[in-house]
Amino acid sequence: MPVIAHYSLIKDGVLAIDGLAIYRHEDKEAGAAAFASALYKHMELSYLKFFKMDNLSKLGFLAAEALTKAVPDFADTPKDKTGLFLMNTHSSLDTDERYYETVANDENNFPSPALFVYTLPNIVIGEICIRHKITGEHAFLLSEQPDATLLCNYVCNVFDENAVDAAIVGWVEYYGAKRHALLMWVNRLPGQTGAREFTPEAIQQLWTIHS
Amino acid sequence: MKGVYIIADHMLSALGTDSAAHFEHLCKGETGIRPYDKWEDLPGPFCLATVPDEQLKAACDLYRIPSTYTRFERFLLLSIQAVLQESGIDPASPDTVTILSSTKGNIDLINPATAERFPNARINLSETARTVQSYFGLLQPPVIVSNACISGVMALIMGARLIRSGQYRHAIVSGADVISDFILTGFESLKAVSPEPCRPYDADRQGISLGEGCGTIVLSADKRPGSIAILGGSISNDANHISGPSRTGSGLQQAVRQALSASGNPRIDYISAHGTATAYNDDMEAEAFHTLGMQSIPLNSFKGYWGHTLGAAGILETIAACWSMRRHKLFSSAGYANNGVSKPLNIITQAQDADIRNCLKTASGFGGCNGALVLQKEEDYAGHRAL
Repeated sequence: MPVIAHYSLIKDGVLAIDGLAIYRHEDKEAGAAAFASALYKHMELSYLKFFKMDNLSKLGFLAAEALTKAVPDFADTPKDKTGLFLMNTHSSLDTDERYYETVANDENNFPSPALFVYTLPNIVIGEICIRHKITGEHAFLLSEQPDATLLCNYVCNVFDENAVDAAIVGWVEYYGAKRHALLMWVNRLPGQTGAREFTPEAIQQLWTIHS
Repeated sequence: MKGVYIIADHMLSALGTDSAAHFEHLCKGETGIRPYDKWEDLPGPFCLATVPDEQLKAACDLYRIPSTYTRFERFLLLSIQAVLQESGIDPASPDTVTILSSTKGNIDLINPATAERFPNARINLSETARTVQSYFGLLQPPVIVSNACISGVMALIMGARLIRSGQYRHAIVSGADVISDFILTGFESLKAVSPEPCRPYDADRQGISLGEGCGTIVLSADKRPGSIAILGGSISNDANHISGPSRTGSGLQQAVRQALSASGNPRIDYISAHGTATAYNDDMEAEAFHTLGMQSIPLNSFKGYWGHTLGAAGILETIAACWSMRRHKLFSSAGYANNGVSKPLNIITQAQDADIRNCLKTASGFGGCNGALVLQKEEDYAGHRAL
């Protein structure tokens, strides 16, 4: 049975690892872009591709950055055996709307290819894979509510096939006021004291606590 | 480990409103891609593979799908209804899971002119799941896979895994996308759209032709006469670029190697490849198949027949590959005349008879994703030639 070894959370201007806040944005009124930039600085990142990402990708990227830093076995897990399974409700709708504003019938407007390439939810998976050289199994799934049973069952199927040794699994949503990332590091290493078993109930419990 | 079998299928595209119509056109090498001077308010010219309105209406009437649903929803409802009638499985059973694959769903509702008749939230695929759930009385909303152009292949792999693990006995896997000004302007902005019908792997290829449609497959743990098995599948990521494939095709190679290994390394007789007809994609595939030593295996792309149908592509193309296997026919790769990829492949130029035991289906997409699936026909299949 795989376990949830660690998890990261970004919500309401707070970044937390394993439930402990490690960064709190002081300016509660600041927009999402300002928060993302502040977090980028706080984490002392140097990754220029970050600045061309859309909001959903930035959110997922930062949550994955914090998580992978906190995971001792991340670097040692073969990159072709590292999985990435993400879910949300609104797909890439935030960027879809931004892109469509550039399509409107106006002679001075040109549809933006830079925005169009972000109008798929799995681009956030692509960005995280590029950053960490992850080449393994992945999927982006959509669901009205976080579907803990499906995520757990499917990811366990992939573990059972030995297609992955470990995986980043979770929820990345960016639409309107809904901005929320919860990423779990799921692995099968023996002897991890205190790690919770990767079950629908455990996933649901994390979501309930942090939503 | 349980076997997983394809026991029913339905195709909807510019080529027709059922699988048999597709088979006829494929045998004759006829394409459904047509030139348009304009598309709705967008000035052309474009080459598109659209489902004709009158054919869609006739198919909806046949399956009693009300016109109160969006175009995208009607695609799904009629195609799922068709496979339910063919297979006789109960969609409302706890043993059945329904999986939808789509890149953009009801994205045409983002246009205020299209959106008038429908509530805003309908644009979300999670709402489509609710619509399909209530129409067919499903116990749970369908699972939704939205993973760019590999969505269809990914949904089939997911369905096969959920059956193989014993969680379900049947999976209804349906993939659809519709042409919209959103998608058309987007691919145009990337300079990826061909001014003529697309020509995968050809020296004169100029990009993709957009298509629309729906493909639906019923997967089952129970073999039926004439069913094709899914032996295994795999997904990989290039970790290279979000909107361009890796030059070497390393991600596709990884997916193919893993899929073959998960399938017991059968000898592949035929490859149904992705073949979008963009310069980069087709070269990437050629590099990958060469490195894998698969360059002499007969290969085609179905994009020249019904265009790139995005979230439907992997399912429509898997169904066409199954018809190839069942009818002992290799179909020509429409639009191809002269080799135009960096390393030559064995592209099928004429429809021909062939016994195909094992088939590899591949797909690649934005976000650096790749998928590969291995299909197998039973050894004693000759007995089912008439099917």
